[in-house]
Amino acid sequence: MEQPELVQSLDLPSTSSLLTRRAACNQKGSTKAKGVSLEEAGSDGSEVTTTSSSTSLVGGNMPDSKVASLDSTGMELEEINKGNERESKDESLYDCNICLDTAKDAVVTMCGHLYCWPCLHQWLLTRPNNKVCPVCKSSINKDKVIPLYGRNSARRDDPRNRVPPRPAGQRTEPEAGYPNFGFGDGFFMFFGIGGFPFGLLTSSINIRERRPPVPGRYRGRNNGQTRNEDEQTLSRMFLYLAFILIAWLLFA
Amino acid sequence: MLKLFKKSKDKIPKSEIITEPKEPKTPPVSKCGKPLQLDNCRWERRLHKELMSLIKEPPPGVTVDTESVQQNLSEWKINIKGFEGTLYEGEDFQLLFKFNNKYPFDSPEVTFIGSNIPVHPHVYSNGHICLSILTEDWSPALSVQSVCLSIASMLSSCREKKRPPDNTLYVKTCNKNPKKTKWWYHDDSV
Repeated sequence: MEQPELVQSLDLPSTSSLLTRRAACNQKGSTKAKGVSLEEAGSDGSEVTTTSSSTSLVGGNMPDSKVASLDSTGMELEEINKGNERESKDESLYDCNICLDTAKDAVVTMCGHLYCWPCLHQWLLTRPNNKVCPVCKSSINKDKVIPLYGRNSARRDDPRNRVPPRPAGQRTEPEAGYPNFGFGDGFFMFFGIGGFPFGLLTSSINIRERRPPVPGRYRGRNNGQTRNEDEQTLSRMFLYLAFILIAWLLFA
Repeated sequence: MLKLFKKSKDKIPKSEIITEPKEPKTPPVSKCGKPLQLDNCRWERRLHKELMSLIKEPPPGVTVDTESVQQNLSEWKINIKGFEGTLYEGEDFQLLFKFNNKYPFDSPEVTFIGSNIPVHPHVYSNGHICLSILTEDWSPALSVQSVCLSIASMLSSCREKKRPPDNTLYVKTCNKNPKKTKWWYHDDSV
């Protein structure tokens, strides 16, 4: 059960970088290597063993080909030698603080600590009464967590994850004037929510504003003018109606 | 209209309340299904990562007994050396870490094992350790490495070798699992 897992682990970046270090060590011909070494167990090369400090891996000057044989393919090591170690170190900057993998569906707490959203969510569920940041123990909240959207992060979520979607980002609209508001196409639009009498009042005042005649919209000038006049009488009617209503409200 | 708004506002927290207790219930339901296997992968993956970093850059005086780890990934034996210049200089101790499949959300079960159990005011003679990060102060951002470091620091800061005052009673009455003990953390000095 555990054996295949360890084999798998040889493909993890951390192990790979360990292999690189070992390889670099051997190239220099140094025999002392502190800590733990990977030994070839039989021919499968899957066993990971610790030895007590300051023991060398296999003989002093191990040929590169033998180092490569530690990996089942040998190709991987070459790739790593081309500088993947530096990359993996850079990537580890963006590792989730809980699963230690590169953060997936990344979120950042207000205290600045990075997590996968599924990981953080599960942590919040395990301690519902004491929601703290695992790293700095600052108080955290699901709503105050900021998602990080990278350039290619719009991938579809794995449907197997039953984790609720991570909280959405908060954004504010830029403050900008509204050019051509109302007059651009000869339309005048009015949106508003208000108490009944006031709403009526504002809209009727808006209607009273003069509109320039729109060329091309109506065929024939007279037609347009008559329409305008019609509208004006209509608006006047509404205005009077509004005044009557307000008066009724006030005196009734 | 206003009433409608109020209703919809009320509904949102309710649904949250309903969904949250459901979440922890799902893993037991799916005990034989795929989700648990996925979980298994996740905690095993993290343990692998920790093992690799512990092997690659071990803290001073700490070594992993990889043979024990190979036999069972959820039980690690870790050797700790007493630091020079402390009361435990020259002594070797062995720690047993037991992980369950809720790791790292649940803390590991950590005890001293073997013939030499340190004589320390926070270590009981059966190997149980009174250390807050092993229970209520546990955080998934902690690791085997940081637990080892805390224990080493706890040993190093000791000024008098003695057992906890309630040692005999506790050892007789306690559960095998130190996490079942309701610890009372009152002494930060050691």
